[in-house]
Amino acid sequence: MKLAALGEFATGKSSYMVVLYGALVNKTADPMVLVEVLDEVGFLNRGLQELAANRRVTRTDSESEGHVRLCATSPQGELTVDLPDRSGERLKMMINGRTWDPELQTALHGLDGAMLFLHVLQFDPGHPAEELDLLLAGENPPQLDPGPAEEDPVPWEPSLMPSDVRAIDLLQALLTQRDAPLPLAVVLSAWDCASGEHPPAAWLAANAPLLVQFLDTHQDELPHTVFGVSAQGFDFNNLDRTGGELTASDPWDRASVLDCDGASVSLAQPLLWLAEQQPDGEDGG
Amino acid sequence: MPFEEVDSATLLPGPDALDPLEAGHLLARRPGRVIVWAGERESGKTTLSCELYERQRKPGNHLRFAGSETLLALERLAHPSRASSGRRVRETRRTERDPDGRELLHLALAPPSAQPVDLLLADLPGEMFRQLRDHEITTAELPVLARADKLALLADGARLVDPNTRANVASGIRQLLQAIHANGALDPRTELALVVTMWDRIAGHQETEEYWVAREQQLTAELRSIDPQAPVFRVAARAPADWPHPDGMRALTDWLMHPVRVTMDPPVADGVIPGGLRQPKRLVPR
Repeated sequence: MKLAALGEFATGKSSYMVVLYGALVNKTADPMVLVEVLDEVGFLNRGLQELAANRRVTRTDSESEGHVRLCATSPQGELTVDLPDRSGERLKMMINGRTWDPELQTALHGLDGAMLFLHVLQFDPGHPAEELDLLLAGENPPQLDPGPAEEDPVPWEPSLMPSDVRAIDLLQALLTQRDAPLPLAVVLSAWDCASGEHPPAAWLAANAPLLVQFLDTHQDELPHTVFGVSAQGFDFNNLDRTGGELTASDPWDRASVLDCDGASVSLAQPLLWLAEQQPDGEDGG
Repeated sequence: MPFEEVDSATLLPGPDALDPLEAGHLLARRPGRVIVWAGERESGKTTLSCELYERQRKPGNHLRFAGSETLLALERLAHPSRASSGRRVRETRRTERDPDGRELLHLALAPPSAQPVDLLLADLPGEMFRQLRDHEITTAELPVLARADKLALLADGARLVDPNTRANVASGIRQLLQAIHANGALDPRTELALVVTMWDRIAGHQETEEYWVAREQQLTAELRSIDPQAPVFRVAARAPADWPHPDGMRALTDWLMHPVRVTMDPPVADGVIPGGLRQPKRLVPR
């Protein structure tokens, strides 16, 4: 099963892969069981060390990429997972620069599924102009507003697109390159930091309605579901407010995944869901 | 310095609107409507297009966003209404004539449990409508008018409130309609509407309302002499957050989405036009 982890810089791709690997190695990703590792896993073990020390996983930069290749058993049978830890910086450059990342463009044709990573704390909703002062509180807000005919203080460029639009822009581009459906697991990272009591699907509907509508109207081409993933388990910036039991636990034990309705599921569930979407007999990769 | 050759297959769409050929391809694919907002400068044409898009980005819509071939163009339009522009007050960029004829914004919207409809929104500068009204140009310079499925004539609410400018609002619409209709440029199947923009500035302003009501009735009657079902919309697309009345956008959107009365959706095949049904218009002549 060839997968793509789609997400911009620091959206939780590497952290999820690291903690999933930890869960598989330590047999806590039931019902997925690791059979064999098929590629080097140094970057995953280094990431586990970081998580164990309550430090963020060092992100994949544009020059070096890790690659998760492993064989596991699942309710769908034996499963070969091929999941590159694609650079978020490169995806960001692709969207802002309006030029395909050649590697991603080439890989799209053979993909069996994708995970779209959105970070709940870094999600930019595209605030209305009226909220400027609120957003700039204490940061030298401009004194005067320009007139209607005057230039915007900050000229438009693609990098200013809100998070929901960036995701749609990416998905629209993907659809132009594929004939077959692309199962999509939308992963809301840092789920433990999401405020409110919404389950993941409702959080997405409240915060990214345009994306939800887009996915809904492309159900055939993009069969999808939503997960809330807490790969770190808690906010490393608030260690003193986190219970000692949690900080002392192993990374794969404190990580958690919720399904779209908010039910706790296996750390491997995003992969298992993608495996379930594969046509019969094509789940082994 | 020699140009570096770029393979277009490696490029992602930029912030341009569509030209007629590209729009024609969209219309051939599935049901669509060509919408023309006709109004003078700052009457709210671009704001209406922008708000159709921006409102889909908020929860609670009865329509579903199904994509846009001009997503970045819509984003660029929305920019002056966002904090990321560095503005505190929502503004709309003034539309300039595109030298390449890229003047059609695309927004695909789908009603619940129904297929998407491609809305093609003509983003034309108000100056062209002023020139048309003043007979400085002819409708030949605005070919999209002849291909409009829906033509909305805009009454500028901000100018209606000002006693110094209000007289020209109804007069301007009347002259514009005559200029479009007089030489047969308007397809008899095009649906018309009167849209009063910035209604939040008028509502509660009793003297303005009284002034406008009589003129609105006259204009509506004139529109209905051409299109007997022409509706009137009073729209407050960017009303203050505490605006207590319906802003009219839903009714306007429903009119845009409604199938053209004598057109069959999906488009009928070439040469197969059942009696009484109209062949969808094409943006590019065959």
